[in-house]
Amino acid sequence: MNKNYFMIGIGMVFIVFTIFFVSAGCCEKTIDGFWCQDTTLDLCDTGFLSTTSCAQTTFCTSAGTCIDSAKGACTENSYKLECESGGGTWENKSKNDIAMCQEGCCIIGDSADLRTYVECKQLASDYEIEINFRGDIKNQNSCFDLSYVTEKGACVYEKDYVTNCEFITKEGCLQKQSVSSGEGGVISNLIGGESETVERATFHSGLLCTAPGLSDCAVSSKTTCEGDQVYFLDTCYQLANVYDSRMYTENENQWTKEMRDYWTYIKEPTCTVDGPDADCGACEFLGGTTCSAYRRGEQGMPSQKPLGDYVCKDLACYYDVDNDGTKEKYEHGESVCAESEGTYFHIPLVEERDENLRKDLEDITKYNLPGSRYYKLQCWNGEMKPQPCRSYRNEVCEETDLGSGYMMASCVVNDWRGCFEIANKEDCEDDVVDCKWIPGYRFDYENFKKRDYKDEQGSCVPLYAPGFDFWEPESDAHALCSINSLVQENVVYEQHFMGNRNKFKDTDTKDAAHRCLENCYAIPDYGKDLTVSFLEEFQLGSDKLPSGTLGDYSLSKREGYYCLKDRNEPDTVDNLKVGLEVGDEIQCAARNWLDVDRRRVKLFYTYDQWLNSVKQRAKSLGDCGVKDNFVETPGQDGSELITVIFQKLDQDLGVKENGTIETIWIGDKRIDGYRNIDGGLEEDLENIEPSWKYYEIEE
Amino acid sequence: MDKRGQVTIFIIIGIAIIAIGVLIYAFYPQIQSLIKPGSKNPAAFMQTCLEDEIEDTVEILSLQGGSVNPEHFILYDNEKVEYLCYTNEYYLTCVVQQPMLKSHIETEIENEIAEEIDICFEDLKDSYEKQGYDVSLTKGNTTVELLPEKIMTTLTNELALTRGDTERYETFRIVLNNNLYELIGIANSILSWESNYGEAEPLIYMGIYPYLEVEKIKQLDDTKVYILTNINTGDKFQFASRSLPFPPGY
Repeated sequence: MNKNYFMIGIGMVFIVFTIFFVSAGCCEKTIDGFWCQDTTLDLCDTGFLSTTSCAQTTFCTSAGTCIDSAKGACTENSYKLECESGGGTWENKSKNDIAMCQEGCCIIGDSADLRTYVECKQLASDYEIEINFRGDIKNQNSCFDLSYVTEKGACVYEKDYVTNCEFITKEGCLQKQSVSSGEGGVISNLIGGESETVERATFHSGLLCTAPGLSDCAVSSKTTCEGDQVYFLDTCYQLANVYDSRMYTENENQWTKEMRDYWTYIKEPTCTVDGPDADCGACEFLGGTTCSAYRRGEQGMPSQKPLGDYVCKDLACYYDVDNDGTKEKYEHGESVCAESEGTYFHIPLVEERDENLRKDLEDITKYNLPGSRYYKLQCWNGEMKPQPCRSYRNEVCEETDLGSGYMMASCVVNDWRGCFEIANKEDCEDDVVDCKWIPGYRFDYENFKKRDYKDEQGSCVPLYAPGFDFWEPESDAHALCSINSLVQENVVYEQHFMGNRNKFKDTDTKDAAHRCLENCYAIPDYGKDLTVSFLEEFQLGSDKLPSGTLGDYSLSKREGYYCLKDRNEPDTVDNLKVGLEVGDEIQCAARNWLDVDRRRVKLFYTYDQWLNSVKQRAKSLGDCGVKDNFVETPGQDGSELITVIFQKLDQDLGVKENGTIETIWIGDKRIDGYRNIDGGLEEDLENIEPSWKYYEIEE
Repeated sequence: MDKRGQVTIFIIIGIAIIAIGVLIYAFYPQIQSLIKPGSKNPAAFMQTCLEDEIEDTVEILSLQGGSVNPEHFILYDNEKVEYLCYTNEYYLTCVVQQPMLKSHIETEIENEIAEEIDICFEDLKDSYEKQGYDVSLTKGNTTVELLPEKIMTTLTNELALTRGDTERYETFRIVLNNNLYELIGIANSILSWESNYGEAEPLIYMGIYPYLEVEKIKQLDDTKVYILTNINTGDKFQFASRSLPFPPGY
């Protein structure tokens, strides 16, 4: 009896990851001028190289601290030679372990910031003032607080026989006194002022220039910006307290004691601001408001006019993130993930995700497309600014609602590389990793064929497909995308002895499926009209069809029956043989083969399931030039081909006759008319390596 | 056209020229001082003569990471932005490339304006000599200091002007209002984060310093261009860092 078998070999992109170490040594300085780089020796500046890596050298192994002794500046993670070449002193210690590098709060005038003692001393010297250094204060905010405790008040003096008043610090007033006595120094130059002749400067701590009896400065409705707040100005254009519309009126009869006090003493604001405000000047930058000139109708401005020219402006942003034509409001400091093309919009934080995310991301034609990139949009100071996450989708944007719709987004590392280390479904789909499980082939191509190993029969791939620079000739992507790219699957097909073995194209697909013995899912239309779960049960036990006979379906009952050819050899693939069909039974015993495992779990149960799995896995691995990119430019046609070859095989599976290579898939397009042993369909594709192979076996 | 008409036109042109001259003289003290340096303001002359050069230099190096001619840089927005922290290895944090940034910038400014200082002193000398002064000029040192809100250039050239009496000047200070000192302090902090952890968060700095805007723009090779801007003054400092880069692939 002639039995014609065909075997199918399939190929899809498979990626093997290799880390290339091209470094040949450590350059203390490269010819480009970079310091301490692991690179090839030809890029080293002469005399600056070592054949070991930087981590193993003495000059680059441990980053120390570079000290600018004259100015007291200390820089961490710098290296000896680069430091000394710039005139610094290098110590092989961390900044925290060097006494000279300890920072404290340096107060200069009414400003304060963290500095080293030497830096502070230098500044004080430059300004010709006494050093005010608080070594016990190491915290930035605590230090800033000191900048506002400087004693302020009204400085009253006479100039050109006229009494003047300035609202300044006590120190500034004292300097006026010293200037008046001829002791002026560089400070007057540094602060941009000019030496002036003043007499009898007197400092009135805690009082404003509008305090009764001090000067001719009077209350006014004028305002100005000072820091992020709105302040009243008096008629001498000196600062008064924070603007509060309740503290001023043109009607003299309406002035209360509280109002008069507000224009006499330095007082904390008595009003609060929550949004755009024309009545209160106590804006808070971090709270989302700041002082601004009033411009009616402009974004963030209050609706009513203020007394003066300045208001608390709302720093919120108005931006159409979701491209629906309507701008949404985002608070100052709020951030949100951008809806950039080809990415998945608004990924929630890990702990807030539901199953929909994974389900949605299965659509590999819609999300994480080549060229796409995640962006975070940051609202700051009334402007929505895009901040790109790492390129090649090495980062994705995740966001969370901090409450009341206040969103916070961040670029999070996409650890797609870690997915390939995982070999089981449970770990792969754990919430802590961004991976997904593709049932079917394993990366090591082990096929357990057992139900118990079902959760290990598959591949763990990135949930967010990474990008590769596959268009670069020297790119790693070529190796990543092409090594082990050929996935070969063999289908054993038995043909009736009356059939023409050279005319596979005349064979009905349904009949071919029915007569299939091994890996039948690679036959087009196999399992069509039946569900995977039904077929799984059918193969593993029930043998029951929904209706009719096996001939009504593209299905083989014989698939999944195995015998050991040699009873004394182990249960390996080489020792397996499909059982003999006797009536409705498959019997190993009829051939004296050992019936080791009559029913085994199949990798796939339908053609569509197999094809989708292979495509999902290949496309999830990364960008290899196959997929359409994010602006819908098609991938390379020749990159995603499924090609077949028919071969007649003899009883020992040796090739008896070769057929021609035929392409049956290009991208997502299926080409009919294959299964032809006599000639190919695609002459212009002859040079393409076959990825499927059909073999005909003669028994 | 008759002769009377021509005369009228010449008169009008003459009046216009005189008016323009008067306006320039009256409203541009800088021009005024260049034309006629007063006997008591050689310092003002030097300030006027040098401040544009200093300002231009500061602007250039502020956009180029602190160097007038960056050695290793990334082109961003047509500017050569110098790497102040760099690694060529994937998955490694960067090495600080300019550990004494403030000193480096001060030196860069000093070097860049050195020639202009000589020219200005020569101009000063010439102008006083033309006014009949006997001028003695001894070359001194130039130091540039970045200070809070200021850049102060101190010239210790000695100038003696003699016309009967002798006036001596030993120190010239040119002060430029600029926030480079503050911006470099922020840059150093960012570089510390970059070299230790591979990344710095702009929001932290913008929260602490309300006047500050920090932009971090990630490039294709994971280079980050940081742009620090004082939103009150518009002063800017930008630099590049490549730390903890991830490859396309492994």
